[in-house]
Amino acid sequence: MAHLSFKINGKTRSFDVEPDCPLLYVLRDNAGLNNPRFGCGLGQCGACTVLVNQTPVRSCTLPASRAAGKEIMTLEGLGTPEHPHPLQAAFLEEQTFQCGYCLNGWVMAAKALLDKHPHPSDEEIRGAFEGLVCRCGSHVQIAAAVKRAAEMRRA
Amino acid sequence: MASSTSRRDFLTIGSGLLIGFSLSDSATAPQLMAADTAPNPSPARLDAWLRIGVDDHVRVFTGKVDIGMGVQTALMQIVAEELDVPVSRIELIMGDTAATPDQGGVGGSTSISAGGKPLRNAAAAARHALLQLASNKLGAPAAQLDVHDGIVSVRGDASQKISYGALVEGHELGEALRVSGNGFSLNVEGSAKPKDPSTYTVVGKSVPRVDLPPKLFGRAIYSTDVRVPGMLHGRVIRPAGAGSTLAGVDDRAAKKIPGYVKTVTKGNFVGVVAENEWSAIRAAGAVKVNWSAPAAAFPDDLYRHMRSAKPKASRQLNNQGDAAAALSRASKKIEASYEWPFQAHATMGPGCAVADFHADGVTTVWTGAQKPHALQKGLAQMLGLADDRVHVIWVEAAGSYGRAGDEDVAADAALLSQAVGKPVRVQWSRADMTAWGGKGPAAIVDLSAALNQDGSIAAIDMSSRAFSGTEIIPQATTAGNMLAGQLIGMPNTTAGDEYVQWGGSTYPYTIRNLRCTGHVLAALYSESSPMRATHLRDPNGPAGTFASESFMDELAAEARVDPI
Repeated sequence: MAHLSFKINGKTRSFDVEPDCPLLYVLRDNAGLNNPRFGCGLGQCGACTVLVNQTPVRSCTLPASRAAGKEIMTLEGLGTPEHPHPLQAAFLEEQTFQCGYCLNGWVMAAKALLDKHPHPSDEEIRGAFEGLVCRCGSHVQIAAAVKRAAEMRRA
Repeated sequence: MASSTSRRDFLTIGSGLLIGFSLSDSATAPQLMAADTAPNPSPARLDAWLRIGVDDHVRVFTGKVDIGMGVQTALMQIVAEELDVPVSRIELIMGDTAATPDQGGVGGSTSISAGGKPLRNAAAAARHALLQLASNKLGAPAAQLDVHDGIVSVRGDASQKISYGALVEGHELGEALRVSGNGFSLNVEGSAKPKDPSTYTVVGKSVPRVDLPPKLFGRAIYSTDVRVPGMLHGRVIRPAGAGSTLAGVDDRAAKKIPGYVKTVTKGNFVGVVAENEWSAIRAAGAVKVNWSAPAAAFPDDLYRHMRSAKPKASRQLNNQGDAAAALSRASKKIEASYEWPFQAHATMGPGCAVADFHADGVTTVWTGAQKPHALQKGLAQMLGLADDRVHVIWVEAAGSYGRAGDEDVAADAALLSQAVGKPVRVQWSRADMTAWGGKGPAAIVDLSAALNQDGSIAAIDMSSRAFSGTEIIPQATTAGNMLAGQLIGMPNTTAGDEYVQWGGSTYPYTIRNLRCTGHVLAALYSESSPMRATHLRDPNGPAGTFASESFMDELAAEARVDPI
């Protein structure tokens, strides 16, 4: 057992956890956050994506010890209904997603993309979404929402 | 969040039809309730379907659930339309066996067409009752009243008005509803007729999905997110193969893992319980289990097995004209065979459930299963409890259709909670889901066509051999229908010969000379099998559709025409 500290959505949080415990379970079970989500536990679907020091990572395969001391952002830290992040507003306007279980991964990956490339090309969008899975087939609306969010930030 | 007391009061409130409530008492948040029994509400009461709060909010109760298709928004539109209230003022409670009528859960794409009917009629009855109240209050005949946004006003005198919330305050309204049908066909009717569809202003319009904002702001609760006080985490360890029996368990290594609580064995069911999820995962990996050899190996060549196996049921599904004669004299004959494998559901999220077992009192199970009222019966049988001692609360899960695994994981959680006497959450791994979740049935479809000189189709002969898509019955009403039930020795209650019973394995086009024959094959393994076949998306359909549409492409290519 190790005492590890993280900066989660701007707040410092410390937990006694096994160092090899994937960050996913620390965020869900210790920090009580519902996003990231468990989809495969193998780094193959992206539902568990969080930003660690602004970089999207699969939290289901990242040992907690390797995220200790770093800045972690989850969907909960992105925006609120009162002050939505442009991505949240854009995804709502596009009415993207059906069941929404995979939503976390797409939104967090898109956040990292737009921070790096405020006006991404189709190719850059596809590249950022590599390794993300949606079983409902919302891909076209997802890409449209990212473009809309980029436009909103330009405006 | 409400206390358990207010939740209980809310659920057991008296016989009135329209009852005020406080929104602070949120029935949508998963929570424990302290009650002795949790019976299904009778659909014959208006307040089983709809309640109006003194704060003007409308609470609607439906046995339907939403497995990703967005029906919750559409059902709310139906009620909003009849009551003349905004969609935003409606709160929908779905799939709670103690709070919502049994509408058979969801299936067959009938949630709006059939499932919306009793909601529409109940809302119409409520509107009628509210207008009677308003008529008394405002001193004007009901026919002279208008409703807009839940405010009743006298036509021609807008100052004469009163809200629905003010009308229901202190009132119990006594209209009973006539009940017909059950399950998917359950309907209720009051004395009032619903609106003429030509006057609709909400139904038929596109409104934003109500579930999306909470999902996008990270506030939606899925079945994976249910946490109850004192909850432990469980994992299951499955047999080495179908028919393997438990020969021994060595949990010495697991016991050394921090947070380990218990290894649970019952018959051939093996699971571990730990204080947190990571400990449960590690403990499940550390338990050494000896299994007897599987009952029978998987066929080396599945399709050869399917062709040689003697069908357990066969049926001539179509026989129009004389396909055999037309084929024998055809100038051109095309033949093709389509082989369709077993397929895993592979939902985005593997099954997850929380169960809180109580030998005396009510056992509560939170699940994403798409037929909660059926699951209530199956779990009660498995646990040896009366139906009304089991309370199943549906909580949204990753999109699915069919028996992907949500019922099975609920049974796992219930058994583990029973064994440790504490609430247990079981999250299936991806491997659990792929290996042991229900499978779409494998099928072979053989097609022959006789073509006329001009390329038009003279005859089709279609013959299919398939496992039944209802090896696992769609309704989880019996314990032996679930994996955990079978593993503890409950008799397997596999069901129908779907492939011939439902007639889905017929050719989808009108052909003058058409013969379709269906054969159902016996399940590969009778007990606790990883190959239990169930609906995967469309009941009975994907294999036949894949074959007949692919074949149409072949025929079109032969005739040199566009298949579309």
